[in-house]
Amino acid sequence: MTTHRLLRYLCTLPAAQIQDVLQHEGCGRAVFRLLPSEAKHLVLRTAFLDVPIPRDVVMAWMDGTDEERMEDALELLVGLQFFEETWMEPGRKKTGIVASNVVPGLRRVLCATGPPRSTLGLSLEWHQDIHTMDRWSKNRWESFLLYLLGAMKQPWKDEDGAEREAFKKMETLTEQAELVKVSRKEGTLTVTEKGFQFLLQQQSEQLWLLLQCCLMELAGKDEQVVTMLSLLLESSCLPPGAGGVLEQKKNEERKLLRVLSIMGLVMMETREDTLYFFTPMTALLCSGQSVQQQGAGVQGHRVVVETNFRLYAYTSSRLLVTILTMFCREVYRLPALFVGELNREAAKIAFRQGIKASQVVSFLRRYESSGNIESVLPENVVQQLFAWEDELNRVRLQDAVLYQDFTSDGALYESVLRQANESQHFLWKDGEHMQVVVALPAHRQISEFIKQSSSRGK
Amino acid sequence: MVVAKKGVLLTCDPTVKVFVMQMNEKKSPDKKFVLADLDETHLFVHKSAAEEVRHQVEQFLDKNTYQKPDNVEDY
Repeated sequence: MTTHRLLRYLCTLPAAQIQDVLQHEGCGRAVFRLLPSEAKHLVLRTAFLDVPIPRDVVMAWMDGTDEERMEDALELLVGLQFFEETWMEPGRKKTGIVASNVVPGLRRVLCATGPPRSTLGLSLEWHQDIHTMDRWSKNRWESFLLYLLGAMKQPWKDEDGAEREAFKKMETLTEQAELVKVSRKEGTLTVTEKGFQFLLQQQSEQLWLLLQCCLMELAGKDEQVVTMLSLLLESSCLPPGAGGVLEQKKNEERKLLRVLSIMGLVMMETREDTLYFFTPMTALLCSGQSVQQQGAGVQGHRVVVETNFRLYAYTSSRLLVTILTMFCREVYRLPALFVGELNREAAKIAFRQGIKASQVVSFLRRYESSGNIESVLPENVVQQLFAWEDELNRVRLQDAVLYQDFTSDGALYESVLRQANESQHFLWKDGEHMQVVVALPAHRQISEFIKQSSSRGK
Repeated sequence: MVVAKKGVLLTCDPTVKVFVMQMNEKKSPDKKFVLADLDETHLFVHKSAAEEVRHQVEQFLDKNTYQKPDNVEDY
């Protein structure tokens, strides 16, 4: 079961912080939307029960569902403080679950109609066409990713010091997340292996990875983490265009809003005061949907791959074209059309940079148009991508140590094998000739063990 | 007395192993890099030869893989 990144992060927080965050109606609703379907089922069944329920009864509710998925769902809900584990009868072994203190707030969320009451104190609404704002936020996110890729030099204006500071902050966050390496001397960014994989992920995953880095930087300052999380979760439930005055927010909230502005989640406007407005992209934060589920032909772009490995991208997005050139050869580039070719050379360059064939395939599948058989990714292309990836693995080299000449000491050989397995550095063995190969990091431990065993034997 | 040799474990398919062994045969006795022939899919080689082996195997695969011509006029 794939758990959303935000939920995994929430489970790492102390129980008191999670309960503070989930007290707010908007936060509870946002977290509920992100739960996997098995967890949602459990919550809906038990939200209005105050008595403990035996574990085996809970497992029986989803008869037919994979038991491992049910266990994962239960573990997730206990981690999120929705439920607590309890004994059904004192002194007996039968366990069950009971609703925790978070649940009364959850009941309000499940019974509420209309948008949740917001604690953000927003008093303004965006005054222009919401589509203009939507286009701005998408361009903003693209500019940021193009800046990371080195395809755009300086997205901020020289006179805007606050914007420059926010961009530099984002650069630091991406460096901490090991997505880029920053060369302070040359002032350039180099995308790492993790960074290339990040670029092929879905947008909501990308946003949360960066936000998680932002939150982890504040780890230790409990109030700030709760404030930031509440702001992020509540904003995802707001109607697009809701806004307020920046100067009325606390210092850490202002910094967070500047960072959100770089990612296109918040739009800033300066009149007498600096105003901020949440863009439609904030709905992505907690939608729980994949981008493909949000609409066929992601955000108006379409990519068609033919059986002859030709690739046609009907898009004017610089970001999409830049990402496609990471793993295919460019043939033509027109204002609204990119023609490329998936070939061995380009694919191998991509695989050497850390991109996996499965990521390329799932990235291209995201741009398939539903119901149009011409745009389904051909099976021969998929298989060839995996074959090209396997070529890089035809030879695998690993630093190691070969132990041999155990002569007739079978007991020592078996002990060394056991040691190697326990340290998880075992690579290869030959029982007949009593030879074993172990990864280099385990050499010191194994050689000490052999010396001690030999001296004991004497 | 147990002997420990440091090197690099090379894991490959039998075809590539034959190619690597041929590479080793062509070297002069003081430059041979295969320390132990373990089994059909594993060799134990000298660390200094690891990159050369990887590079030679890649060239061998490139030579023996059909590459479609990149000439745009073909389209």
